[in-house]
Order: sequence, then C-alpha cells, then structure tokens
Amino acid sequence: MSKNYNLSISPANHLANANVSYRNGNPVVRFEIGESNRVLLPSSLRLVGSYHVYKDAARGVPVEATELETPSNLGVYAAIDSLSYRTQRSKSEIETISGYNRFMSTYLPVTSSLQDGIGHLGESALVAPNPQFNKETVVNNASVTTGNSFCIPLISGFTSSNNPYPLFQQGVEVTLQLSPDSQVMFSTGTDSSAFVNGFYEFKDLKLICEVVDTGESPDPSAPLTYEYNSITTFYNTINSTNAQISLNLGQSRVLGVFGSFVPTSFINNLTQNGLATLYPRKSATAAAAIEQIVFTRGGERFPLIYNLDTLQKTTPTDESADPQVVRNFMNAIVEFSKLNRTNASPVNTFVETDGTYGYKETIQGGSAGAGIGCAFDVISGQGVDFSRVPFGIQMELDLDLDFPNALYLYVHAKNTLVMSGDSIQVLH
Amino acid sequence: MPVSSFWSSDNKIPIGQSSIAIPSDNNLNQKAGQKVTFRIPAGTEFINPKETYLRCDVKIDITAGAKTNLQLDSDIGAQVLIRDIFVKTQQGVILEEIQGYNTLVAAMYDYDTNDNYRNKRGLTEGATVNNPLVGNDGGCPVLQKNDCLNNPYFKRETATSTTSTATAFKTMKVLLPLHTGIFQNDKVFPTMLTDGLIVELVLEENRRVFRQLDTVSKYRFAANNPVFLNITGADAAAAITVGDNVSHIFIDPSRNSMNSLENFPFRVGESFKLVDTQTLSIDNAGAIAVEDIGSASGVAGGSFIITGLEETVGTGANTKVKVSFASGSLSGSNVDSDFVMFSTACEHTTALVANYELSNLELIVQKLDMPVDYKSSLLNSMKSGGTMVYDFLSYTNYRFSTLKSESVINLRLPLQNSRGKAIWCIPTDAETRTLPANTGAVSTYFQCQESDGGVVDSATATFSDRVGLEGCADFCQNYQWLYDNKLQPNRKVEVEKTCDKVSISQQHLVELEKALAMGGLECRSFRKFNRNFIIGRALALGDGSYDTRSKDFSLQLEYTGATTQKVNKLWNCFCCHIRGLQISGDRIQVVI
Repeated sequence: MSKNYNLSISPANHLANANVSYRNGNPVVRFEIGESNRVLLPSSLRLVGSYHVYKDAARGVPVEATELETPSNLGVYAAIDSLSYRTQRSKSEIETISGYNRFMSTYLPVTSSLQDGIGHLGESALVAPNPQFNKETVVNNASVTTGNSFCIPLISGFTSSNNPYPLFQQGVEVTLQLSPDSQVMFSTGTDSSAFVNGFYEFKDLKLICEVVDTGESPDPSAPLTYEYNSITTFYNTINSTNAQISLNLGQSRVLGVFGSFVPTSFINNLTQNGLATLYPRKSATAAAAIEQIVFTRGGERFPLIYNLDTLQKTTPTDESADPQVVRNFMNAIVEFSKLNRTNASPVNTFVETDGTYGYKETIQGGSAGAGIGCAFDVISGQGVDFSRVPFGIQMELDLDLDFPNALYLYVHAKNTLVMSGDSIQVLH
Repeated sequence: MPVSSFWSSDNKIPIGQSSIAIPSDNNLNQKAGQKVTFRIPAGTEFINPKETYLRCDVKIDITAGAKTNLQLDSDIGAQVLIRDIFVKTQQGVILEEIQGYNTLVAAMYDYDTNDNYRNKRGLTEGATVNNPLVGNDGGCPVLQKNDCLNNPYFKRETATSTTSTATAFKTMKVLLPLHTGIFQNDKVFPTMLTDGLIVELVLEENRRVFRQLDTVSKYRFAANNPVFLNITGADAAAAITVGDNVSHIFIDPSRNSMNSLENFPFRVGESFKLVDTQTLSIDNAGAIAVEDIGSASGVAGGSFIITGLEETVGTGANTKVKVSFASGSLSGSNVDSDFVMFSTACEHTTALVANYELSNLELIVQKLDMPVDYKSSLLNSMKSGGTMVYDFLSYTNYRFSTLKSESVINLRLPLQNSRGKAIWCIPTDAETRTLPANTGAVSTYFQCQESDGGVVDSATATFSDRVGLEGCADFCQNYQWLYDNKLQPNRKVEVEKTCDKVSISQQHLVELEKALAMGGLECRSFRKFNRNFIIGRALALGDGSYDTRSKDFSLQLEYTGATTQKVNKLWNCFCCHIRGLQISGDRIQVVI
C-alpha cells in the first residue's frame, strides 16, 4: 500500500542566519532531495520563504518617494536568474533554464489571466496586476520581520511532467541562481538615486515536496526512462535592419521556439525594467518596428511557408501589434485555439504608445503578447528534428540606429532521461 | 498559470506540419457584396482544419457625410464581414453551407466569451475590448466600444491641437478562424480524397457592418459621452442659455476620462448636439419621451460642426479639451453640466456613406505530412472498396419571417437533419434600415436600460447597433416547441420578464444553455441574455442525436402582452447537427 510523505528541505548551502541575497554574496541556493526507496512527485515541488525589498544597505524600507519598484507581473519569479535540476550523485543535468525570470516574463502573461493575477498568483507568487498595488503591498512593506511570504511552484519541464521520479535511482539536486538586484529593481521614473544600494533578500527558504512510498521494493538496476518537455535558452543581440539569427539547437524533438526582446541597455539597469517584454526599439522611447519575419530550418522557410509581412511594413507608424506575429508567438507557447487564459490584449500589446516617461507609464512590464515565435508541432507532440540542421530567423526591422536589442529565445523540446543503475543519460 | 498541454509529454505518431498561404482566386481587393473564393489544392493531401484561418487587411473609409470614428463590430470583429459561407469539393459537391454566418458567429461569441476570449479576438479578429485608460464613470456596463487609444481601425490622436478634417482610418490585419463544421473540427481533413476544397465567402453589405463608438452616441449609454463644462475655460462648471453666442465649449476633464485629446472620441468635421442626461426619458418600448437638446440655430439640422480640437488649461488650472465650431447662437435648451455631447454624424443632413475594402486575402492552411505508411494504408483501403466516413458538427440555417403585427406565431421548420443536436432560433431585426441608422443605432430596436433601485436610468439606455446580428426579445411572452407530435417542454416556457426587459426569466436560460452546449458551445457568459435573445432547444443530450426528418417541427410563440412587437423579424433558426462525408473511390456523399 502506498503512502505519501511531505518533505521540507532546507538549503544545503544556507547561512546561519537563513538570509539569502545576491548583494551579500550568496546568490546560489541549492536543495538536495536525497536518495530513498520512494518516488518524488515533481509537480509538488514548491519554493517557500519570505521576500524582502530594501532601499539601502541598512535594510531601510522603501517609501513612495523612493521611486523603487519591481516587476509586478512576475512577483518572486523576477528574482530567479536560473533554475537547474541535476541528479544528486552523478551531477547529470536533467534540465537547466537560464534566464529563468526572463522566461517567466515571456511565458506567464501569455498563459495566465487577469483573474489569476488578482487571485492565486497574487497570494502565492506575489504577482500584482497593478504596479502601484505591487509597490504598496510588496515593495514598500514595512513589516520587516515577516516580509512577504510566498510559495511558488518551480515551473519547468521536469516539475510539470506528471511522471513520478524514482529517488531510488538517484536523488535530485535543485539549484537556484539569484538575479542581480539591478535586474530585479528599477525606478518608477528616471531617478534611482534613492535606492542605488537597495537589494532584495530571501529569508527562511525551503523546498517542500511530496514523495510516495509505493510499498514495493524497487530494483535500482532496472532500466527506467523518464520523458519530459524542457526549455533551453539562447541569447542573441540584434543591431541592424536585417537581423539574421542562426542557431544549432542540438535537439531532435523541438516542439516550438519563442522569444522576447528587450534593449540591452535596459538589462541590469536601475532605471529600466530589464525584464520587460518589449518589441524591438531603436531608442529608449522609439520602436524599431518589425517589418518581416521568416523562420527557417536548414535555410528553408519552415514551418510558415510564406513571408510574414507585418502591418508596419506598409505603415511604419502603425502602433497596433501585428496579429500574425502575436498569434504565432502565443501559438508557440500554447496552441492558440486552445488558449483560454491570457493577459495579452490589444490594450497591453502594441508596438509603441509610450507615455511621457516611456513604456513604464503605459505598460510597466512590457507588452503581454510581445514576442516572436512559431510552433513546430501542435498535433503529435513529437516535434521536429533540429539536431543536424540549424534553426534560423530572418527579420527585417526598422532598427537603423545604434541601439542593440537582446532577443531571448526559448526552445521548447521533448527529452528522455534514461536511468539504469549508476548510468544516467539525457536524450535530447 | 502553467498550462498542462505545454509540458505534457505524450507518445503519438510524428506528423510534419507546415503552414501555407493560399491567395484568393482573383487575388484582387474585395468590397461589400462580392464573393471571395479560395481553392485548397488536393496536393496538400491532409490539413489541420482548426489551424486554418482567413487572413486579410481591412480598411474603412467615409466617402460622404460628417466625419466620425467608425469600427467594425466590437464582439465579432471582422467576422461581421462574412454573410454566407460555402465549403465545396472541386467537383462542386457542397459539403457545408451556412447562410447568415455572421449571425451564427455573433451567437457563438456572445455566449462563449469571457475576458480572455475577448482579448484573443481583439488581438487577432478585429474585435475591440474595453480600454480602462478611457474608462467611463457614467454608471454603465463595461463598454467594448470605448477605445480611441488602441483602436485597430483608426489612429490615436497624437496632436494636442488639430483642425484637420481628414479621417484617421488605418489598415487593420485580421486573422479569422472559420466557424464551420469542417474548419472547427479537431480531426485531420483528407483533402487528397476530396480533390481539394473550395471555400467561398459572400461579403456583407456596408450598411450592416459599421459601428460608432459608444462614447459618442445618444442611443447607447449616453452617460459615457463627453460632459459639457463651460465656455470660459475655467475649472468650474457654468451653464449657457439659449441665445448665447457660442464658438466653442470646454469638456469636463473629471468625467469619463475626457482629460486629453487622445482620449476624446470626436473628430474634427463631426457634427454634434448636446443632450441632458438627467431629463432624457426613454420608455421601455424605445420611444424617446423627453430629450432636452442644445443645438445650433440657423444651421440646417441644428448640429454644431467641429472645426478644431485643442487640449488646453483654458482660464483654469486643469487640462481640458476645447471643442471649436462655427460661431452661432444656442437654441433648444439651456445647457449645463448635465449635458453631454452626442454625435449626429448618423443623423446629419448629408447622409453618412461608408464602405470597407479587403485586400491581401489569403487562406492560411496548416498542411500535414502524414507518415507514408498511413497514407498507403488509407489509399489501399480506398482502392479495395473501402469507405471513409468523416463526421463533423455543422449548422444549417432555416429562415422564417414574421411581422410585428402578429401576436401568436407558429414557426414551422422543415428540418431535414438526420442527426440533429440542437436548434438555436435567433429573431433578428428585419426592418429596412439605412447605413447611418444601423451604424449610429438611430431609433433601432430598443434593447434595455439599467435601473437604479427601480428607477429606470435613461442615460444608460441601449438601442441595438447590430441589426441583423442579434436576437430581439421584443415583448415575447412565452414559447413552446411541437415535435414528435408532442408539445415540448410540456409547459410553456415563460420569457415575459426577459422580453419585457424588466428581469430574468430563468427557465428559458436553462433551456438555452442546454441547446448551446449541445451545439458545441461552451457557455461562458450570459451577459447578453436579453441583448442577443435566442430561443434554444437541445434535441438530444450527451452524445446522442435526434432524427428531425419527416417530423412536423414547429415553434409556437405568443406576443400577447400589454406591449406589441416593435420590429419585423427574420428568424435565423440554426439546426446544429452532425454531418457526415462518405468518401469511397471517386464518389463523395454528404449525409445530412
């Protein structure tokens, strides 16, 4: 007869005071789920703790005049720079998502609704659909002792696959790399002088999860395969009117590729939201409209066997987001016709309607549906082989000034973990 | 939050997928009333119908009359442009034909909707959503036709002062999923066996497709319109009296977000008057009993014509919008801060003439590369006398006209569907209405108004601007179906409260939900229960179906209340049914 147990795991590398922050030199948090005769339910993994934002090294609480804010659409996820799962003994990499906060800023608005943000995501992940609400409740929280409690699922391929993971083969090591403070915090306006030494901090971090004792005596030497979807990150910069991106994905079952843009000068910048998902820009306040996109496989157009010409190709000043670009981007994350929860709307997805202080005045977290992408397989779930041919993006855009834009591309692929005794192999 | 399908890892046969763009037959720009034809070649072999959609550019234009901002339908977007749709094989066998396609889509989108779906339709189909940045405080429902900032059909006003009379229409790209049985089916469609497919679309007339913003109309939620402040430019409100010479007015910036020119919904060249929202009185049948109008004297039609718009502080401290027009004296009523501007572009002496044009029409088709084994096995089976059966949920429109003078109506429906699932009867307004009347909802079918503690608020009254698309409740008292020689349900279904526009008749909604669900719709919203009135009946439940052939099938309606019907009606009765294709050799048979 099987029996479920709930585990609460403290960081393997934690400090005596249980505080963790990038600023104070401990940006890596590692949890170890040890070997046992049980199976782990990966979907039950939760990161728990309290989250604090300070305006200076003396842990001063920000006030309205500090003009300090954090990405309200991401909550705690903004602070996680990378997420990695490895086997405990052999350190074989199961999945690593670099730029995890960027991935979440691309993924979360497409797949969560306004009601999610107001409701459970607000309670558990400190997501706030309104920047001012975020400032007044999370950032300017005077309860220094208790801070902002949170409990977030670590969204990833490994944890979202519903297959139980056999801990009797090997344990799992979960590693979080925290993001620099300057990537998490930014000014509501243009002045960051009141929080140049500000930082965020986690306290009492724990990983909680559920394991099952199946009541059977497992045979660790028996071969076992574990199928899961994963995300791989590719970082590119573009700084011309004709962006050519060619990547060797090294994956044989690619389901889709999607990505989002941000000017490189916004990254790790206390006056800009480095996690904003914006269409390409040629200055801090002007758009560099995308005019044409072509996705290729081995140099041939694929999967769209036509050139995707945008509204801005014929009308460069058109502020509306191109419906085909938006649809393909969202379709790469979730099949568009089946997507029934999203934050993206015409009100928050447009090429450019900046206020006096730029995008932050109208869309602090960026456009919810701003990105590019394409799905390769919405039917069979088996994906397309890119292990031997390169994936390419050819993009014409109005980037005629020297203003580099970063494109974070996420490759959604299917993987297999093969375990047999001490041998572990990941088949991409 | 995370969507399971994104992460789930299932084992299925790998199928190659690629999207191709098929241009329309003549590859020309198309206008109202014309037919657009697409031919999906047999060489595509297999397609994923659900990932097939129409892509085109839409541009609206005004060629005569006063200027005003126009858009397409806020709920169904550019789907309103498709009146009828036909799906045929290359040999001309009609697989599906849906007349009144836009009426069907209006029913689908009005009842299967929520914020997320409205957003998706706004991003891709040319529908519009409420923009909170131009939010209204007039005490009305959330408006979907208030967006003058991110409206896909016209440009945002970026200047702070303008005298340009040019319209601001821009090209809008739309991606329209086709809501027919075949193209909403999850199953792969074998175009190789039907020798390809022909999709024909008949475009809707101009007079039925355009809409004015709700924030400029007297007939729709007038309380949300720009509120008169004064003519001095001071921050405090001040009235003007009949006979006063006026050349401009200032708008109250604290009401309805009209605090900047980009938020202001009127255009230079637009004609307007002012109406008192406090004394405006509209009865339950839609007759305007009292309206105090401030108008211009000595001008034909009495409308002020806007000659300039400016964002200014005037003589006060707050930024406000100044509306300039030709100097003249005020006639009609004294005007104070209870008055709002309303557009008379649709009631102007020079009739509004607008049209639309579609360009770059393409059918985006997802082509599937099925495994060779699968194809050869399928072809071998077909060669050896096998038959392939392809079932899908489709809709047939049985139309019926009724007059407003009738008080007891028996709608006899000659249904011929062997596997009926449900029937949706939509009594649309069949009055002859002009383009301006439809566009501005000028004295069209009166839908409803809010009541505040029992006191009816005429400032939130709503006339329909979707004539021909939505059902009119129109004082129906009850209905009952007759089929299988039985009255069904065995008691009349009362709809008096809904149709008299006083409350909700609940049994009708239960019946309607069953019918919509059996017709393949997920009912996510009943917000339009009285504004798009539908009488529905589920003909079977679960996976079952009902053979409607050779049955005396009728809908009995009573309009025997104190108030008679107000509009003639065209009943669009959509029979939702399972339609089958039987493909054997070179023969295709459609089983209706």
